Amino acid sequence: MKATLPHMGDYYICSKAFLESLGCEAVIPPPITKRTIELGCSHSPEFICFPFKVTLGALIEGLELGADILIQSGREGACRYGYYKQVQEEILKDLGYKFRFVRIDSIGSIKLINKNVSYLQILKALRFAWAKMKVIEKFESLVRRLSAYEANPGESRRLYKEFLSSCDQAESAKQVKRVEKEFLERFKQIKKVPELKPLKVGIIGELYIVMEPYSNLDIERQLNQMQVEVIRPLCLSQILKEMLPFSPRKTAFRRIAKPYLQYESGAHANVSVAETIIFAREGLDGVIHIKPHACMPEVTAMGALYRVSKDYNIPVLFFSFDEHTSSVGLRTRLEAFVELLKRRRKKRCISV
Amino acid sequence: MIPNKIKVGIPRALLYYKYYPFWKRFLEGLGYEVVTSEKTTQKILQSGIRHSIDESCLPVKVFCGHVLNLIDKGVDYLFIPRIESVERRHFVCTKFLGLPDIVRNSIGKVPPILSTNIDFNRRFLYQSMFSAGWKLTKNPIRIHTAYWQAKKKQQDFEEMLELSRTPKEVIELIETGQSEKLESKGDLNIALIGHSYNIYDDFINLGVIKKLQGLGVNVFTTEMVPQKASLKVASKVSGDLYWTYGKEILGASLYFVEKGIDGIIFIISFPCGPDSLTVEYAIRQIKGQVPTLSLVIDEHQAEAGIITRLESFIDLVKMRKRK
Repeated sequence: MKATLPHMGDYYICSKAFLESLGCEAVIPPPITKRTIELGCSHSPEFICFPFKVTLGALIEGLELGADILIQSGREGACRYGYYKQVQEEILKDLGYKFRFVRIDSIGSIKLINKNVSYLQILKALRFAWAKMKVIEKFESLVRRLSAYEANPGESRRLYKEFLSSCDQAESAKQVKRVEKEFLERFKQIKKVPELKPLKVGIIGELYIVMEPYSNLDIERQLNQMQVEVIRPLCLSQILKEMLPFSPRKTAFRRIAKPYLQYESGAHANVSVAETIIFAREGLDGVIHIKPHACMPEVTAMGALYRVSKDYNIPVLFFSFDEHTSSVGLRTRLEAFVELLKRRRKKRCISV
Repeated sequence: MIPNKIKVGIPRALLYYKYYPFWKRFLEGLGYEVVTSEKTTQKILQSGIRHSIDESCLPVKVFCGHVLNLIDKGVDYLFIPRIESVERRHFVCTKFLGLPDIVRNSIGKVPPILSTNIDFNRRFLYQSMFSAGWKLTKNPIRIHTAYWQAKKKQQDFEEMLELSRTPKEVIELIETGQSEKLESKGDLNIALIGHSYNIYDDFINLGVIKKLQGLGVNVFTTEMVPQKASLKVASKVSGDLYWTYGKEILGASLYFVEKGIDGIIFIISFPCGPDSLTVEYAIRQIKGQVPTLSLVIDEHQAEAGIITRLESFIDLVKMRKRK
């Protein structure tokens, strides 16, 4: 039993921990590269969204490594994501692969991976994966902010890589805790430039593009290199929490976005709008909205975001990603945006 | 009584071709005058494009154009329901979920939008329509009768569709008392599969139906398959497809394959989200039993390309048939 699921950021560590504690062998596909995307694109429908192509490519690479169970996590919504599995299954079958495709959207469906596990084992596996996820997210968000004003550029990212490998090796929730403690201490020792007041930029948008650095051309690192602090509230644990039948956070977001989006617009559209409003209230310098080309819910959100940007006087930059997006174009636009934000801040300082 | 009838506008786009008789009868039953926008023209398309996000799909851009046309006509209300699902445990495209918001956000100054939340997963249609009616009149009996009259009208409309007429013809028939029927005299049978708002809007699809008839083809469309039959076929093949209109497309295409159609043309508007998956799935299910063509229409209106592709497809189907 060899199971695989596509990459999304650094969450492969959690999925590996999860699958291994269910008694499966976890096949981690190689990191996403140009080849993955080319593989995905050449077998995908014409104007499907970018995450479909990336995940299809990653699944093919997983199958090449000998996986026989493919996993898609997530639940149906009105967005395209819920129908990925069926079409990818059809495409991969036509390519001649032999496999079983499983969708995990509830505790019960986890049994589809390995029907010999007990519910107790499943809960234990979930708890272990959850512990790793929380720690990874904690350090990830720390790195995004710290990298902007560290004295030796790249130091926190190097340390983060080290952390990932020791987190990967941790075999129990207790060990994860120990790793967390150790690295928290080491992160504190990173030298900072004290007088630097970096720009603060929030990133919102479609969840896969936001969370998978290769698909967004590592926009966070690029911003960090320009000494911009990145704030990104969207993470997997949040999304999992929002899937619960009653989610106070989601209700609150819907209320905040109500003047701009009266109704629930599917997927994360309302959250994107609400988060921009929150960013504006918190006094962030700017917001970057990223999404795959022609993402249905986020295009609805864009209309609202133009209005939010005007009403709250906060600059919003929009990016659409697909396989043709060039890193040079992205870089140029980011530089211009950061320049604009700097000037705005200077002006604000003078007027105050 | 309302002395001067208040005008409520219904854009001639998107789900107009599916539910217009229902909406019209309901609003008229409440004592309002219903105004529809003109048929799509270059001007409507261009004004729609100007007012919408560039990544929106073509039908939404056209919809915005129709809304602007209605505003020019001076309507007092716009009737734009928010539709989440039209069938239990199913959804429609996310664009319908945010339609009132899209219009409000991208056009800016609009007359009050009369919208109601149609969601078969959580409430009955009666509830949704009642709350819409309540905003217009505080007379519950009137809303009640208007609803049932409208429902009757919609049933009649759907029955007429099953007599192999297109929604466009039936609506014309109801409105003016006459319509041209799709003539059938060719020797090739081709199914034209796609969303109603792409197939029956002669402007945005560049008159595909007329062009095919000119090539001596009998055209069949998605709506000519009884909805129940197409949904049943689709459920059998892919039970977890959750877009109702996607299901209609998948079901209708497989239904026509079973009936021995000569070829299938899928009309897709750029960049349609659900169609990018359902049409791919349908083509992979058909597996070359029947020649298929997927024709993508966009706002650039390149007529020559469409004609070439149609002609070569028809030639291919003819050659295959001769064999």
